[in-house]
Amino acid sequence: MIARLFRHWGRNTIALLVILILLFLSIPSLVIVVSSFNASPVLDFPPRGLALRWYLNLAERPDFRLGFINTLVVGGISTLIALSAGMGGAIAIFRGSLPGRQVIHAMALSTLVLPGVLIGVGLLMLASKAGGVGGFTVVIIAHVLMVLPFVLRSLLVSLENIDENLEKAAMIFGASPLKKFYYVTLPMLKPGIGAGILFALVTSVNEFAVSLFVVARSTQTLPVVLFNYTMAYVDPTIAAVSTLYILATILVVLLMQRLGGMAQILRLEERG
Amino acid sequence: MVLLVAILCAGLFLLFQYSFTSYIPGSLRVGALTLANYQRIIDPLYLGAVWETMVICFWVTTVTLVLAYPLAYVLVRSSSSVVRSTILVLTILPFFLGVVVRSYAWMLMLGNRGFLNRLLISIGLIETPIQLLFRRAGVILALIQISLPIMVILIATGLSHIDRRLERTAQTLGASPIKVFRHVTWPLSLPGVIAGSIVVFGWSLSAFATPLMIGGGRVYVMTVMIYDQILGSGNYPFGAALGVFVLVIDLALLGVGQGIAKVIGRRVRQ
Repeated sequence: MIARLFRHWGRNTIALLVILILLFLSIPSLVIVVSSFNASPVLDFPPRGLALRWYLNLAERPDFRLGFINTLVVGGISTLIALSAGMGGAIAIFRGSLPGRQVIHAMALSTLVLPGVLIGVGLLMLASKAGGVGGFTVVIIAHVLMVLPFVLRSLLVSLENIDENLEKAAMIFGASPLKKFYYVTLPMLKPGIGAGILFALVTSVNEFAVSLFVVARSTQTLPVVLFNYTMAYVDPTIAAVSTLYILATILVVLLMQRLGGMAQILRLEERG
Repeated sequence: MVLLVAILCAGLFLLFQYSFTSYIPGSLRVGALTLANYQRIIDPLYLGAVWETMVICFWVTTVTLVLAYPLAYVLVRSSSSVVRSTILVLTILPFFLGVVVRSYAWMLMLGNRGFLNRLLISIGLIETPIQLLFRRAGVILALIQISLPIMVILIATGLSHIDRRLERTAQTLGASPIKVFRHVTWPLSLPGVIAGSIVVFGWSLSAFATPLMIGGGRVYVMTVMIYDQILGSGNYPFGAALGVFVLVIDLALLGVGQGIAKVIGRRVRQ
């Protein structure tokens, strides 16, 4: 009887704890959304009156418009480059006999753990030697390096799941290596490619530490614009942009759910 | 991809090379070879930044672990799929939100008239607002929220790989739920816990936007110190020396972490 009471009590405590932790996780986003409709320019909670003026301010400011376009361009191009480089790399790492492929693999994943500030400074120095400071080339290279680990991981997981017999069958039936890749390997890599693209876009669109060092005024990406704005002004315009970011993120998460379930992408399925 | 890796290596090599050159004020050109940059690091200001970073990393990792474990446990073990997917979605959403957006959210949370102070005053816990913005405590609080999702994911992955039959066996043999957890579940979940702690410690070490925005220059961590030298004073050589210094600390800590992970991994298998 006492044991059961104790278990019941323990269960409720854990439930309460989980709810509190989830609130801690989500409240900051909710505060942003509410603040973006605040009528007063002072960071105040709860807001006094509601207004859309910060969204209008957003539409009027050229720096945000430029940052938005730059982010889309840089995100798109760097995802494409990372995907094609990652595809070659993943196949070489998984099947090839390239000397030192383990080292290259480790280096390609290293941007995941190295402080972004260091990568940013290194690339800035490289750009100043090569005479391309603040150009799109170095910004795109920086983003490719940052998204590469995610693309590579997703592709490698897909490659591991491929049944190699299908490829052998294609070869026995006389398909050229190119045809075999296009008709057999590529379709089987689709889930990996899809997950890779999503992870790469999310990473690039949010990348900040490296970007801050390599961008110039004309190549600023949105997170850098946001940061510079918060250093100069305190009004809730950033809350408006952030709300748009939150909306986009919700869309991405929904898309991932449709792409075969987040639990699967994160490899959370239960065993035993 | 080989080219990309080569560019990354070239960048890091330049960092190394610059760190041994002398600084010519007002110019991006560098002077003769020197060790002066490294001698300058032994200054209370810069060593203080190392200490500040370590203190922040310690608290963030510890508290994040304590908060993430129950969440991950319920995420993996709850019998209700509604509970599981609610936890998963609410954990993943902030994970995909950029650090600038999340740090800004915490600027709104922590201000003297921000959400947190208003909440604490309205439930009568405090009478005057606590200064959290531009303070270490504020940076730690924000970094905990930012690190929670990845810690939950890694612990949950570890937990989901545990063979449930081991727990059932212990239960059948008469162990109480607490004993089952202490002697079976907890030790078997350690690899996930260690992996999560290493990642979160490394992230807090590399964290840049959060200490910069919430610390407002008054919470001086290693990344902010490099930023000050490079983009603030334009002293590339000294900034590079600080960078190499941070890189060495980072790699050393990663090595120690991997070592601990290996020892624990071996013990779990036994």
